[in-house]
Amino acid sequence: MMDMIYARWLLLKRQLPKILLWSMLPLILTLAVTMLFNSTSDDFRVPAAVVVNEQSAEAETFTEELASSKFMNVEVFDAENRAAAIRRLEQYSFDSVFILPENFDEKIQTGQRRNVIETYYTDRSIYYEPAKELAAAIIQERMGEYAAVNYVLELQNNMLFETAVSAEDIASERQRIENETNLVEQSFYFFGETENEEQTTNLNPWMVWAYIALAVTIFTFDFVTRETVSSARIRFNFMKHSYKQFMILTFIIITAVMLIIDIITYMLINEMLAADIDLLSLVLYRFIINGAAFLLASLMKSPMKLYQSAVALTFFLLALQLAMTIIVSVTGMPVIIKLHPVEMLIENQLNIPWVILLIILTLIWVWRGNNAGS
Amino acid sequence: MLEVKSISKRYSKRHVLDNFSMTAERGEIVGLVGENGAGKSTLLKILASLSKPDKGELCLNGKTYKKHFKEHRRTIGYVPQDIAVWEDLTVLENMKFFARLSPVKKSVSELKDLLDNIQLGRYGTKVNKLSGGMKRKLNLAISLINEPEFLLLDEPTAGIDLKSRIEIGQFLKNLAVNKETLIIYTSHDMNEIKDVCDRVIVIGKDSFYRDLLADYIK
Repeated sequence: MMDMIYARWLLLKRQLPKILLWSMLPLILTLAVTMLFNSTSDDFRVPAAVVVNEQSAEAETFTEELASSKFMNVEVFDAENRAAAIRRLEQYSFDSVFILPENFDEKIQTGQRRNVIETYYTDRSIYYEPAKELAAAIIQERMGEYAAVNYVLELQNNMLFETAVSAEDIASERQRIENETNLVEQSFYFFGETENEEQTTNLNPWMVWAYIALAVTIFTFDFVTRETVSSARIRFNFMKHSYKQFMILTFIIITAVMLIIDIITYMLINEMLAADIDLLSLVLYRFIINGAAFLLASLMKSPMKLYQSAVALTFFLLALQLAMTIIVSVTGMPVIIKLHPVEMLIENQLNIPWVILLIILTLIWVWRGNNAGS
Repeated sequence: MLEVKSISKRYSKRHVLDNFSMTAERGEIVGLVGENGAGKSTLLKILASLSKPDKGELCLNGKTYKKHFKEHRRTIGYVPQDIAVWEDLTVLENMKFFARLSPVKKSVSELKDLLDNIQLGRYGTKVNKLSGGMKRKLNLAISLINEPEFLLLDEPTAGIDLKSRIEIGQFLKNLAVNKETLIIYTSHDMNEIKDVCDRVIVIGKDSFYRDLLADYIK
């Protein structure tokens, strides 16, 4: 055993910096890609302007509500700067401009739905429709509140005069109920769906890591291809250890080193990106990609073919995952998800079928070697 | 003693060896000559137990290959036609690598002695920086680490300079005399065969075989 480890060390020592760099690459790229993508997603806001022709409570409420939206970046202009806001819209600095009229407060309180807001947009205003919907929802909510208050006051005047409450009391009670039930933030689920509290547009760092790790691992195993096709391999027939034994030991050593790096990755991604994952799923994923990379590298005739296979396999699995919803709905077989190693990893599932398959393939590879010779 | 009894080998429909027989004793150097494709390399691979004959039997020291091929491999040294070394390692690292995996233990000083005997003193030079002749010498030196009783060389001097060729030839002669190693040697160069070998086996196409004394060729 020590002889084989020493021999392996002789062969790999000059490639060690390269292998370590390759092994760290998934962590580095995952942190970079995830932080870049997620910060870009967070920073993106639809630029819009609100021109306020009257300084009223309702005008202020409207602009605050609009500005508090996660996808709007609102700039407020007074009546005198209306032309400046329109000019910037024409220069495509704004996606749309909302102009609140002088009697905006009155219109809201009395429920005048016609021409409440004047809006402007351009042929490049791709977010105009959702922005308009949001503005309409705010106005609807405010008008609804006044309608409810007026209705309750009317009821009180006609029927319950002795239990007098003010309009402010009604409005604050409505606000309290809204806050408690938090209807705006509630998610609704259809029958059969499960809750996923972290469902956001943010990239899952473990998905990013899984694909980069897959490609990089296959690239790292290029030395297996080089050694397998080397003329020097023939000499193992006259050694006390077979080439297959030597390579199995290599696989174990490389996998152990990569697992150590994976555990560091696990801790750093957990800490820096607050993305947790089941550690055992991660360990099994490492075994699967290393096993696949090792067998692939053993079969290839040149490193270039191995690199091409790595890229092709990575993109194939990514495409498969993106199309998974369609595939499952077409085939009606949700079990297909369990065939995808990356899907299994990010779902914190133990990918036993792939581990068994790779063990069988490795045994076949060893058995074929042992049956050679006279 | 090596005994080859009526072996045949065919690839697809073509007979490469047909009913070939030979014997050889320890200390002999036997040359194999013949045209390209006559079956020299195939015969060498069968003798090295890297390929199985379709028919016939081989014995080394009275033990058949069929039953004892793993045991025989420990006493065989095989020098392939391709230079079977690690190009990224130095001369000495190559020796250390194969010595570690060899059934016979060798110290670093013994490995250096072996390299010195074959006149390859550039221990620390990477193989990819060596000349063709030096690489051929290293190819031979690695095959000698396990102190083989039976050494098979497949065109060991192909494409190298005259000086290296003479040095390798002289080294093999000494090996046969001093260690009583049985050496079987293929080459396209008849002069080289005549200089190095005691006997020559001519392998022709269409199952034409002749076993001649090297002196007879002279």
